[in-house]
Amino acid sequence: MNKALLVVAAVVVVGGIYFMTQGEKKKSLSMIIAMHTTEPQTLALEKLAKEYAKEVGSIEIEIMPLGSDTEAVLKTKMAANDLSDLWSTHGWSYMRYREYLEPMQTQPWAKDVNPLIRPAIEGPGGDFYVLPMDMEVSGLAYNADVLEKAGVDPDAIRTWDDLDDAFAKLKEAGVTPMMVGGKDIHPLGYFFIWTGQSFISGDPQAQEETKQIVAGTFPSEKWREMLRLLVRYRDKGYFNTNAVTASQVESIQMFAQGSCGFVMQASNSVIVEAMTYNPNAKLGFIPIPSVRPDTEPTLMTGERAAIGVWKDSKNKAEALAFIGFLARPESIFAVASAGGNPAGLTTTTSDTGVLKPFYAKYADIQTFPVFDRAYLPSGMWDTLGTIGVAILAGSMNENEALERFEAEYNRLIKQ
Amino acid sequence: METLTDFWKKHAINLLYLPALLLFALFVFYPFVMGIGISFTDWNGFSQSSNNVGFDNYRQLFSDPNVRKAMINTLIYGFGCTVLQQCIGLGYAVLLNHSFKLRNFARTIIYMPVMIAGVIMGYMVYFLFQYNNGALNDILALVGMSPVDWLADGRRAIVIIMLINTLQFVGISMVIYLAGLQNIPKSFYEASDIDGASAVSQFFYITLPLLKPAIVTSVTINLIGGLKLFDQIKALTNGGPGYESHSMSTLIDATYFRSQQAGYSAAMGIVLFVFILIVSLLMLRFFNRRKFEY
Amino acid sequence: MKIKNTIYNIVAVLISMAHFIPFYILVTVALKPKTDMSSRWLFPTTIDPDNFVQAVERAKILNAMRDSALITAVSVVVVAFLGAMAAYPLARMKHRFNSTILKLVLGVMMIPPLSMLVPLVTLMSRLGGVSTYWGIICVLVTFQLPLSIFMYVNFIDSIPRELDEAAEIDGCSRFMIFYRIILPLLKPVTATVIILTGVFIWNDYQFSLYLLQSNQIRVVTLAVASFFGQSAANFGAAAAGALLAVVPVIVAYLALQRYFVKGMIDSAGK
Repeated sequence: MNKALLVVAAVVVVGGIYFMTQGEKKKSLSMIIAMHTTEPQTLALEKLAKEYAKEVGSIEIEIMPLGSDTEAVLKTKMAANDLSDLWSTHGWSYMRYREYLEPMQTQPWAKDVNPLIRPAIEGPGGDFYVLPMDMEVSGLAYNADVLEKAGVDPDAIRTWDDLDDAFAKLKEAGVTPMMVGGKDIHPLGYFFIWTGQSFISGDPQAQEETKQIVAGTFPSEKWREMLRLLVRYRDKGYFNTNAVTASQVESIQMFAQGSCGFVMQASNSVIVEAMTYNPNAKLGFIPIPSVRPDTEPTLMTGERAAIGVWKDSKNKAEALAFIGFLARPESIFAVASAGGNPAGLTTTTSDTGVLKPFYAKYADIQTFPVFDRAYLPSGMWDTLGTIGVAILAGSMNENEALERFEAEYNRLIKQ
Repeated sequence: METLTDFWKKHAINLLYLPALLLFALFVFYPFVMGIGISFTDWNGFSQSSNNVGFDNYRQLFSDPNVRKAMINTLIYGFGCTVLQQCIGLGYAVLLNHSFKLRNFARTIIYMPVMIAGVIMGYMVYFLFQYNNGALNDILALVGMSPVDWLADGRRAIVIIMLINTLQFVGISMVIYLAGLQNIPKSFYEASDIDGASAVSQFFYITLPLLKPAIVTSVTINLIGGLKLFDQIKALTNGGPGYESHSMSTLIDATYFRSQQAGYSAAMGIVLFVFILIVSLLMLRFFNRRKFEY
Repeated sequence: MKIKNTIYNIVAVLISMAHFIPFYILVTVALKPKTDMSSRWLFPTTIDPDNFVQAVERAKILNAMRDSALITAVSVVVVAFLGAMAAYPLARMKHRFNSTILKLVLGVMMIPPLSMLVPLVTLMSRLGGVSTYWGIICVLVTFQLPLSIFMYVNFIDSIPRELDEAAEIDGCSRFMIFYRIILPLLKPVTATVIILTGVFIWNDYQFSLYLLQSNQIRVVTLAVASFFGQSAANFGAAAAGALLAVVPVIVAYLALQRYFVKGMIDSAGK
């Protein structure tokens, strides 16, 4: 009996090893993307990869949609200096990944990069490291049905005070004015990058502070105003009761169901995702409110499907060739349209679907690069969320929060 | 004088643990020592460059209120989960050690949550406690009560996390105790039956003492598991609200990957390791000292 | 006696219901399309197989199950074998050096994997073990070994030493004693070790995530997690994948359960 067991064990091990050594190894390029596996952009990229493989013949592209784990995996792989041949940089091509990325400014398509996305990916010397297939031009997402029922005209919201009035009306109508998925920390980050753009980078009268923040001086006074706004909205009960325990997904579901007027997230991705829960929802977005009535609302532009090449990849030439394929107008069109986003290169115009009327309406509105990526040190994104949640939870007051912000800013800017 | 051959004869059997030691040396001790190295730097966790900062991380650690809170929570999770799982697991094992119709069915069902991957289980238990559309609040709505934001209060969140962890993993303790119960010869009970012992005194004078190896195994596994608790916290509260329900493990994770303080995070990992080591060794000593009489 | 059994059955059902809740929610989530946001207690009015189709076609859950099965089978055998081997001298020769080794083994169990994850991944990529079967198996085996050693040591402790001593008098070497006397006695605890470590290995997520970076080798947890994005997620398909992935584990559990309850059934028949 004992022998029989040992034989079985030996068979498992030997057989296992035999199976493992089977299977052919094809020359392939690996590409990590920060999306999950059934997202429309994943499907679009996979389709392009297959077409490319057919066109070239000798190569295969392995797309790995790592979704919510992308950041952690990429950080670990950077630490090991063993990255995938290509990856999508989800907003961090310059600040976090450029040490590992191949510069792209000499690529033939470089001149076609949409000027709106340039400030979000470019360094001071005009160097950049990704192919921006699309870009996220966003503001604050709203549910049109909910706003209509509460008698709120989204187009009349121009300042944060206007938004306050709109929130008050929504609250009176018995719906949550703005839904926050604070359990996942990140949503609160949006509050600070919205207000950061509105109070600092997008305010013509605050250009001095904007310069200082890049140079290493924390704009305490402006920041205090931003914090006060958050506290004011909190105290007036404009956020959901479970603002600190709700997940992002929950907030999007509520938004799709019409249980809240606004949702604290980047507008495009939230609208595209909410439509998958409720295809009949009437959703739209307004630009980021301005700080004073005499300044204009603005829009925020950031990376979405932006793809870079590992500079030490053994397959760099092949990877760059694939980037060349992805930069073709028809590829750009496919990926940008799948995400409902404007194209990242000017060689094509994407089909932005339900959001089309909004892009048309806001064509003349000034856009700014995502605030934290462009003006704050890398690593600050988490601080924004964590402290934001602490304020909503009431475990930190305005002064403590300001102190923490300043300390974190000073720590990270030195890194 | 011991000759070399004698020595060999006496100790050659120790070669049997050599393969295990080699694996530990390569895949645990080496990376762990590298981790100690990281704990003396200000590394951000991904760059190829970092600076040596000496003991700064450790110094910061002892004055960080969030670390203190996480440390206390870690103890609560560790001992709370252990106590819950021993009581319930042993209870289940005693019940399911009787022979009745649904015994095997119940064993399988109780063990089932262990078999489902933690990566999906976290979301399912979150769905239970979610405020909007959460399964528990749906029941409250059914009986006409207003919904409760279950995880909003730090202390309640900690209790819920421990209960959920027990709901999920009590099957492990149950399995260990079942195996232990089978090693107790039936004759012991029969003999005490003749002496007229009650079921309760049989449990305390026969079952418990003879279960000692099973208790040691189960308590050790649960205690270490509880002190390292991670998945459930991440799924249910993500450490929140604020820092209320963070354990050291989740705090280490957040510090490493989110706030990009790999050096500081590594220092926390080392301290946590030393801490768990001390607790577990104390516990083992406790078990070794208490000789159960039988 | 009959009343007692009825009570036992009722209590068992009540307990089972409590533990079945997460699984039940998994089932209802898996059966509902994304647009159905009704209560998680309710079954959908029409069964929609789309989530299962997506789990199979998009996440390739069946391939993942094959890879997971392969990795788990080999790892479990190695864990049980190396564990039993290592446990014997540690349980029987408890001099100072070996107790230190035993404490070391326990220490390994306590190291939070996260505090050494990055160095481990770096090491593996230097050894060329990333995205290979041997790489992931080595790591999974290493981290399950302490539990296995620990359980075997505790079990061997409870085997009377007289057995060893009698064999020694008969002239058996220690290796022979281990192979002939001890190993055959380890069957019940081996079932427990396999059930415990097997489930952990099958459901391992953290190590697989960082060490398997290719679509060639992809385990079930990675397949399931591929439906989770930062703010977007496809819970239905993920639940469907998880349901499919749990079937072989339940089958294995049921098969092994017979082993470790065998002794009990024998005595109950008397």
